[in-house]
Amino acid sequence: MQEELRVVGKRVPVKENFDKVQGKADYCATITLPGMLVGKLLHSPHAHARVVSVDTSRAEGLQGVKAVVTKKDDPRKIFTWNVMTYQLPDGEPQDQYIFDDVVRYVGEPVAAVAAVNEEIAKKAVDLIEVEYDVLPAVFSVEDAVKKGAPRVHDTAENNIGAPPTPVFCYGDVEKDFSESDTIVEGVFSTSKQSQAGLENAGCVAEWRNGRLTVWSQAQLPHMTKRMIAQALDIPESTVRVIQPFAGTGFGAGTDLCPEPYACLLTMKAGAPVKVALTRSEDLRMRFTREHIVRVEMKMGVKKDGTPMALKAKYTGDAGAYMGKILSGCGVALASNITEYEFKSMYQEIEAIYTHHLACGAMRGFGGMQSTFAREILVDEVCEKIGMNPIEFRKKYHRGVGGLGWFPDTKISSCGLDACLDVGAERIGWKGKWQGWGAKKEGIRRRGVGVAAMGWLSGAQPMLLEHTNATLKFNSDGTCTLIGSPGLLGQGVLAAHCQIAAEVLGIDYDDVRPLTPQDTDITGFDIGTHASRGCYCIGRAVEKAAQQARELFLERASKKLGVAADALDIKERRIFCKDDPEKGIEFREIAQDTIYSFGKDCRQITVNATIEPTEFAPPWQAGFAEVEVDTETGVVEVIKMIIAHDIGRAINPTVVEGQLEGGQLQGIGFALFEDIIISSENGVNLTDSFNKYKIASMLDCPDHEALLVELGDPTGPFSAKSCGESGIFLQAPAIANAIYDAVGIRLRDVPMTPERVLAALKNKSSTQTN
Amino acid sequence: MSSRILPEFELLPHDIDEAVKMLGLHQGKASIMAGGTDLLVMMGDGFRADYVLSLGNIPDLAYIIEESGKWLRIGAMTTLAEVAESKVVQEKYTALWQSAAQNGSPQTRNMGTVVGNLLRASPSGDCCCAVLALDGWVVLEGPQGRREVAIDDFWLEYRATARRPDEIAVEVKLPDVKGNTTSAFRAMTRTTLDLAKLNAAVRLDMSGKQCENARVAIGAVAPTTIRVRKAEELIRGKEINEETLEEVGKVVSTEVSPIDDVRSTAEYRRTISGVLVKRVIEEACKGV
Amino acid sequence: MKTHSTTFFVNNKEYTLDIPVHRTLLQVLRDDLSMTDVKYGCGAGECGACTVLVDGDRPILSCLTLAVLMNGRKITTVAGLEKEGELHPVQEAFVEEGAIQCGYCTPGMVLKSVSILEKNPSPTEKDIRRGLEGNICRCTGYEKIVKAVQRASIALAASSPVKQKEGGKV
Repeated sequence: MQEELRVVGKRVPVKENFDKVQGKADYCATITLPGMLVGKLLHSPHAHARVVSVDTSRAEGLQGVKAVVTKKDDPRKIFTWNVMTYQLPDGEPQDQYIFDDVVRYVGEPVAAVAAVNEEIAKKAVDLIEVEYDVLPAVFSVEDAVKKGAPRVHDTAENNIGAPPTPVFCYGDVEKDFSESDTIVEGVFSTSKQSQAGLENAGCVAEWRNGRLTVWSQAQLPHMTKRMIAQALDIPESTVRVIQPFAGTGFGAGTDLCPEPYACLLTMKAGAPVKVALTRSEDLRMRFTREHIVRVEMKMGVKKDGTPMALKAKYTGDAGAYMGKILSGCGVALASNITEYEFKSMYQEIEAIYTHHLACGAMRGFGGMQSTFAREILVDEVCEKIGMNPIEFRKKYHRGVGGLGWFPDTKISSCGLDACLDVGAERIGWKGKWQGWGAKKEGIRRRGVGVAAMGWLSGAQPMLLEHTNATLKFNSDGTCTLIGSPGLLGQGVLAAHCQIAAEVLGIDYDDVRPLTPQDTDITGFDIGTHASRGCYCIGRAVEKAAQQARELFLERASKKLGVAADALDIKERRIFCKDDPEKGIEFREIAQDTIYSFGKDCRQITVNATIEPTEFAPPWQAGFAEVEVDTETGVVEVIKMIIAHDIGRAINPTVVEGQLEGGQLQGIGFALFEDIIISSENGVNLTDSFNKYKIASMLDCPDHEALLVELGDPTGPFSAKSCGESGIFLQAPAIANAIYDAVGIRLRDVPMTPERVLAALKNKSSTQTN
Repeated sequence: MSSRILPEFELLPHDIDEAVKMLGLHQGKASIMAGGTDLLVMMGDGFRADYVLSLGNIPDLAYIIEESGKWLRIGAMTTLAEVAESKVVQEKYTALWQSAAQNGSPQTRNMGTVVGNLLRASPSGDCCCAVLALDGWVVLEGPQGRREVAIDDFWLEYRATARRPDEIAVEVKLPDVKGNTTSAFRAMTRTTLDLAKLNAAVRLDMSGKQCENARVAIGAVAPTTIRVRKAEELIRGKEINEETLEEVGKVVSTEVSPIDDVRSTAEYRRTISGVLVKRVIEEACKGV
Repeated sequence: MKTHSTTFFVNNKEYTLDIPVHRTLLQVLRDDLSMTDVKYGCGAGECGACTVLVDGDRPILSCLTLAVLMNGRKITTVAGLEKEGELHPVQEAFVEEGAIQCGYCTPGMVLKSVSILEKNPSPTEKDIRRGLEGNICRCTGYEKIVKAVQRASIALAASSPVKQKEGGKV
């Protein structure tokens, strides 16, 4: 962290924001192609039914209708919306068809129509007649595993998608529990959060001359391309995925959604088709946050707090398809390993099918749920042994060289102590935390709580994290940066440009990222998930820039007659380190590469491939101050502070933006966001923003994200990740603060006034008894 | 694509007499639209009306008129934002002012109206609650001319009002309040931008510390916004102190019949109804 | 299908269209006039993404407005804020403060911010938050949006009063 940096670490504006602020940026929602048709979906009103027949004749007869597709048009190739499946050597379960003989959740598409405009498409959808044989359905994991329960899939006996499976266990937990002085345990439940980006799920597909081009909100474009080809049973080379900007993300783009239907429609209609979902469709159909519906956790420590044993079981409510529920549970488990130095751990995961909307991924994937349970239990442990909860965390978190998420991985850096210090200072912990059992009076009572976590910067080496970045130079000394993260507005392109400019000694303005991105142009890349964009892709950009720098220095060396290693580049100028007066403009060399007139023309285009092996955990401490109204159960968050170990912030504004945005989603997760599905008929009762609430500007408590920059030896310019990290600690810190305020332990998210009040009542009745 | 399609319909003429005639002609198939913030949402969800009368096309329906000593009159096209910006409403009809100022978002307040809120007859309507506490009257214009319906008689059942199909609600009027009258409104919501899971409003006619007369309204606990008459009786003629408030709190929960929905539970609503009414009364008392 | 001939202005340009009565202003702007800077988010008045300004500074939801009722009105969309190639100070502030992530709520958010500053050139933080309550942003956590409006308020105050008036009114 010594070197003087000119571009990295600066708050430069994100380039694409100039287009966005004028409403000129392209989204799937804005793209219009000549002759483009509008696609609409027909959804099942039943949670479970056999589709006996689909009569499309009246729809097809409507003027303006160009194509109707049903299960007859489905190539019947098994696939999954979860395109992340390709990141594991053996993949994740695949159990979907574009249109199946059976519908398994309310809202599942049964047919689709393409017409010359939206109104005709909608009319046509209403004219399709479907005969259903309605079947009994199950709406909870408890009911699903009962003997004789209706089966979601014929192949899954007792609806068990994955039986309890221990993963990454070590040591002897039973022995260590027997040697523990204090044991705490609990059963926790968490909600089915929706990513709920402002742009609904949408895509455009065009089948032309044997090629299928799909404009998608994909976060993982290259694997999206492969999955579309698999589902349609066409060669992968036939498919091209273009990513305009996405008005959504947070994990939503790691699954397909309208793409398969739009593709079938365009292939049948022979014209481009846009399928853009309504808000209601988006909430009913887009795979939600991994729904780890139950976390059972048990923890044993010595009198002095020494962590002994941790045992946990994560139960996923998969919904109708396996989606990402297994990887979600797996991440819950893996991320839990890294936080504290337990002598032994035994954790297992299981997944159960139900007739719910299935799960994809959302920011904080899996880690949200294990962090919630673990950090509350740590609080309980601390109370029992009479230890300050900050002290416990400082003393027993894992540090550099400690056990990582995955076997044989090690922690490369850890700034958690500093995070705990900085955060405690800012919230005013010393004055506000009055020790365990502090007596609070009055109708409204205040409390403070703390929580901590460590996350990752890409899921290597567990998952394939193959990344490419390309720099293509122009004759004026500028270059185009070609990569393919998801274009979710996370600002990572700015960071990439800063990294490239810093390495090359040119200006931020000289590096222009390719947008929209196009799998015909970009090299293979995983894309955006697991907080990998800045760290993994950034490392590829850094490597490409270093290689390009060498090429430029070589050329300059010939021009200047000086050895390449005696040269340096700063502020767009290549010069001798020993004699800075002697040099040449970077632009002149660039000009010479292109317009060399028979001497040495060469298009400088450098591609760098990386496959990182370190997972570079960022760490974080979260502090909440709350006020609980004991008469109504309403919890007001007075202040929420997170202090984040970023390694180095390549662009502090962007990093803060990620963390602040995560904070508010975390507060939503903690207090009010929840997809509610009727347990009577499987209907999604929260299919509008009127019912599914996300925070407005007035629901924002005083919140802040503080950056701790202590560097990481593996990151680009020692940076670690920030994409998901903002969202984890609100729920546990708020839960712990509620305990500090009113002495109730909540185990269920969201912590609604209804739940708080019930717990308060329960507490007072047990006290009077 | 804008992805939310309204069914086709026709607009009715802009002249009020003509419009009333047409409403009579198309009974059951016509809807009246003020700000559109409710009707167009319903139509987007599939509600069909073959004819729509847009009050926005009829002039002179946007006003707030204070007839001193008699009434405060609010026109059918007066927006929530205009009510929220009115000094008179803020000072003398605080409950209504609060219910309008907190209603929806700035944009919907710019479009939606108080009268529309009453006509929607939602049991959780914020303005419904305030107008019920403030003893309002709805002025209806029909083929036989104008008639006025007391708010107590206006909501017949869930989403049903005393307005006849060929009538237009042109105004809501509130009886003048004296210096010793005070009112307040409060809503409980999941997030600030949400329909109420519970709301309550009161109007108190005070004489020193003693309450001469009270109207207590509560919403989202029954098919329509309701008055809690037992609570009114409890405080009428009494000093409002901790003891009376305690009793009020208890009686309210016996007078409500709430249900479970995505916003809350019946149990919670019942438990909290008394607390909310108590707090609204306390707040109103501060305004004296 | 019942249509009405309707004349209105969008970003100072006059349009006369035969519009089916049931079409919303949002549909007409986006689908018929290809003004995709106006965004659809929920279609039910719950997110503010479709906000446009009517007659200068009155923010409304185009998803809940019948286009035929806009006869004679002047509508401003975010594309109409730019003056001679220069961004509006509110737009500049949004970029500078990093108040934009996915950018999908941005057009509505910027227009609503412009209307706040038109009415009250030096709003308090609370005024800003109350004013933007109906514009949902899923990405930013709002902090940088509040800062951007504060920054724009200072920038507008620094420019001359005459220019300020012109800059704001469209």
